[in-house]
Amino acid sequence: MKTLIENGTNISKYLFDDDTPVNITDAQTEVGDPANLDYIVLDMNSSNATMIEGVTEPVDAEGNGIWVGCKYLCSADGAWTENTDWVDPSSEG
Amino acid sequence: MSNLSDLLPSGGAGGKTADFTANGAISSGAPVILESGGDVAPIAQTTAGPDAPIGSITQITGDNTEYAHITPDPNNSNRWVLVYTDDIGNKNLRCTILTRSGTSVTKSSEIDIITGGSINRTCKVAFDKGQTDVFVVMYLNNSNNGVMQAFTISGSAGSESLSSGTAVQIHSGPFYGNARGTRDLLCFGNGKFIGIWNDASSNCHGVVCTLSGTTLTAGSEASLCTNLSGVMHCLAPHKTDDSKVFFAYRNSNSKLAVRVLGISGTSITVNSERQNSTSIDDSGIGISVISATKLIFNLTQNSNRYLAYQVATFDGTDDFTFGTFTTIQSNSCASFQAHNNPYNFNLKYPFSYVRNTGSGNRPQIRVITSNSDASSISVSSEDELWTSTVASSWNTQEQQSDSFGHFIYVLEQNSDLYYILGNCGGTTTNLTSTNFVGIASAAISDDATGTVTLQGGVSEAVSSLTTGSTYYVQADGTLGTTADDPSVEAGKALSATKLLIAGP
Repeated sequence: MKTLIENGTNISKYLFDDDTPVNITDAQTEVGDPANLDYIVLDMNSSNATMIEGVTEPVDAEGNGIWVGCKYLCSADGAWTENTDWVDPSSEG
Repeated sequence: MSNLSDLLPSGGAGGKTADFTANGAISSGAPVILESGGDVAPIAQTTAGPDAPIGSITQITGDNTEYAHITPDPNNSNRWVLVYTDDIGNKNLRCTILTRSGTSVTKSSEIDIITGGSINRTCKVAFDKGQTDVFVVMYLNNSNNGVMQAFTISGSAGSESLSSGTAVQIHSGPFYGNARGTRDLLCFGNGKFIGIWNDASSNCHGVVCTLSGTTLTAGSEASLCTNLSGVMHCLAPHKTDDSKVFFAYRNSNSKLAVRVLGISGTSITVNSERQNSTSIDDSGIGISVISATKLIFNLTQNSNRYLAYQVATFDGTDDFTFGTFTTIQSNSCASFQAHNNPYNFNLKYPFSYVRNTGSGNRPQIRVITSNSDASSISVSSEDELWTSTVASSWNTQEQQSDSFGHFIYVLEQNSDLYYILGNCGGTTTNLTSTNFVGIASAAISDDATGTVTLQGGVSEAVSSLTTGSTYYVQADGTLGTTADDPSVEAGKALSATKLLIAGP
């Protein structure tokens, strides 16, 4: 798998399968088949984001994938650590 | 007679001039307006905003509240009505009227609509387009049945009172709404209302009511869909066809789903579901109607709750072509409010949301700007509205139809309701449809007295006109051959340098 992280913070913003096309341009990031994009990310571009290839999704004790956007940091070697500032956005407050 | 100038009486300007004191420097040949004090002023256009918060963030009520929903008045671009329920004790259904004047908001007293009862009342509100001062509330009555009821506002801002029509039952038994103030009651034509709700399963229902005075007539309840996921659903009008209403929701595939509701009288025809291809979350849903064929759906990306939008093209019947799903911001938000005014279809609208920036959930805003066919969309940078921690639910927001797109964003903080006033930015002019008085015969300094050629006279201070063309005063104070907003005719060009000023 591969993850798109925010430069400086190493926050993992997106997690993709290896074969998902991702094009990081100067202006934005384009995800999916270029002829029929899945989506565009306006706030991540070549100056503020880096793709780290060959990562393995973090898993729970049962081996289930538990990655959630912004919940983890990913270093250049693919190691995951929890983002201590992350708050579950679905928790009502 | 060999040319139009031969029509002129001798003595230049046809003798129709008068001297005025200028409030502001006026150029020779410039159209001027007459002010209430009798001075004349240059026509000027002002560009400002976006801006939020404007003025103080203000408490609406210190009582614990739930199910807040706000609506803009289509007949008074400075007024909104907010309904909400008391969360403690008697579960009263209440209303507050908010009226903007410049940068301040006048708040009515809290007015009880329904008192007593012990149920959690979902409630929604919408003004009638077809008559002034009348709005409709959809709510659960004390018998736990769904009803609609019309109310008439009387009194001046801050001192309003309400009179009511008779509540009409639209559903036997309880219904449910969501905690995020989506637009589930819509006035889609003069005296035409549609209300939607979900049941305890995954079904969404709707009823059309017609309104005459404060008398509501309800049609039959219709099943709109049976595959809701969460309780995200909302309505938007068609821009030009009041026999169609757009109904959007999150379906069981976690996709954005849209149906066109065909409406005839109080009957609803439910067209086929169309869905996008990108999963969405249940933190909100909003529709901005841009044109008769273009809609912007305001969304969050599934699981991550990243803010997003997606343009859809309506085929005019029942189908949609979805554009590329576009993520605005790769930070999770807890909830959001985003849609433009449902009567004026503003091309700038607020995308307000709550997200945890590391110090708790705080309200943020971006402004979405679209061109007239949604082919070009820009998003402003994030602006934090308040440094207080707010709830992620019971938020509601609506924009007005004025040229600056003022909006009121209502949030719950420490169980109390507060409002934030803002605008999306725009331009305004001091020219109205009635205040153009003539054209300055020569330059006039601020506070000086000078001559103005009046309506019915001939200005010879103009230049580069096309003989025979009709000229209009433009919102920025120039002359042009197409009408601006407001449409004010300046006159007919008799020659390149002579304009017969249009009479009153």
